[in-house]
Amino acid sequence: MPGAVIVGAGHAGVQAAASLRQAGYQEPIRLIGEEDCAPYHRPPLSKAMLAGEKRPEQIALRGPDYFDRNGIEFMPGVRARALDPASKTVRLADGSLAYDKAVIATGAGARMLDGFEYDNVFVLRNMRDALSLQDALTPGAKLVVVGGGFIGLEVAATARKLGLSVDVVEMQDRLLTRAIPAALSEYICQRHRAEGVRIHLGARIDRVAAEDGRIASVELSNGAGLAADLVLIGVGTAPETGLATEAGAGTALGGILVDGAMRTTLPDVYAIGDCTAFDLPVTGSRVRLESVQNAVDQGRAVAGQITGQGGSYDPVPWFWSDQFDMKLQMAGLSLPGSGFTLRGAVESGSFSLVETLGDRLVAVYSVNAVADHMTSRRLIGEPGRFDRSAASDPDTPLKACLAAPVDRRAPVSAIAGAEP
Amino acid sequence: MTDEINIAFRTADGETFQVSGKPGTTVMETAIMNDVPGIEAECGGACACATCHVYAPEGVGPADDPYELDMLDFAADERRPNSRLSCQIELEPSLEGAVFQLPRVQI
Repeated sequence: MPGAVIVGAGHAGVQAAASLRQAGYQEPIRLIGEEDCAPYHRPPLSKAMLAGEKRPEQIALRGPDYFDRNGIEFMPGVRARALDPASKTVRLADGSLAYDKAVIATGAGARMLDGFEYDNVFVLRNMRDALSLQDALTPGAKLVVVGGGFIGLEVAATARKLGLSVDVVEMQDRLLTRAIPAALSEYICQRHRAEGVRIHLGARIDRVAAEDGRIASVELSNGAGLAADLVLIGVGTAPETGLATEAGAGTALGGILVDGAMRTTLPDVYAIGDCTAFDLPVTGSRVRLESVQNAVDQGRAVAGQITGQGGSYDPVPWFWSDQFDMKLQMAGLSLPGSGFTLRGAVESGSFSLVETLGDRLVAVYSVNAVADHMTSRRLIGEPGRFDRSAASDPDTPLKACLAAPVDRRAPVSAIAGAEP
Repeated sequence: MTDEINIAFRTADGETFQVSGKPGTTVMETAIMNDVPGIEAECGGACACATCHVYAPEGVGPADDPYELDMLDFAADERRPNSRLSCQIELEPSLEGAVFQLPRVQI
């Protein structure tokens, strides 16, 4: 039997299975999912699905017959207990699966805070989390969000739309500290406040008052007291690395270390998606990315490697977040020492912040500026000098701000211009 | 049980897929649920990836949402006047029998 065993049926694992078949992989594929539902898109859990605009089946990654039709044995509700690289088996609660190639796509779990073990405290990572949070989002209820990151702010926006009263408590002195520049944090903070979200920056929760196993109110480090009907903890994630590390795989940045071919340090064991850490060529730095882009592209990359068609993984990372009327889109990753150029008018609600380091385009952060985002995904990492002053004019296409590098293969006369 | 709406997808190679979906479901979701090849829909309907590009039949209006209009410029295959992102079209009775043409590539 052996073939491929993929542990984890999130976006990365499902993409790997699908791409293996598309690439003509003929061996058995077994896809193990810990959740007992069909694989789904995660981003809508904090947005359209949480708001009740989409039913769970509308956010499925594949149709109900997909796996059967493509010869993929999908095993929902199954947890991998251990991986043994010597015998090349994945051990389950009952029995084990032998593999030629194992792909670990176990993702990341929501981090919980100590002292918040109450019935009305939620995290949001999977379908079950989303359905129980959705049940609790009743109009007029008071929601306290701990953490001003993407999950916290997306839930805050959805909850406001549903008519809840919302407080967001963020330890740092601005929102989304790790993901976006300060000027954009400020804009997003203002938009949330204009929509009635109360944002508490530089504050932490010092005390909770509970009744009957439920938090009734919280007290902040700045002395403010907030009544709470429910609390969402949105303080980031922890990669699910146990299966790999117990088998002896190397780690970095809290994730499973993989090379450009998605190989872990164990033979014939690959890892993809949120659980991985790797060297990103475009920034020259080691990173751990949690995104649809990374899940999908690493899923494709590992299939290419296993079928012998793959090159090295070299993406431009991109992300998005929808909050109120803001379509926030980001391409590239920030680098130390870089500068920012504003492109477009902030008051118009459609603009980009262009991050450059010398004459190199590093990243672009867009609010309702889809063309800037899509163009920057193609431009970042391309050779040539990027002219940031030209980029400050929103009427100049971003593409025109990158001077084409001199083509060294061209005849000299073509470079010199006019004939003598 | 709501009546389902029947639509079809025709691939660039001329193969046709007859499928159906509930009103309010998007054309993209209907393609995914029925495993129609040639619709990637990486972003799951957030209008963030342009990988669910279709050529819409007459009767389906052109895009009017500014995001969709901008995204269509970045579809992998040729943009035509009837180009749409299928995640932005919801099934409704007027679409009964509509045939959506699939582009050759999405990525």
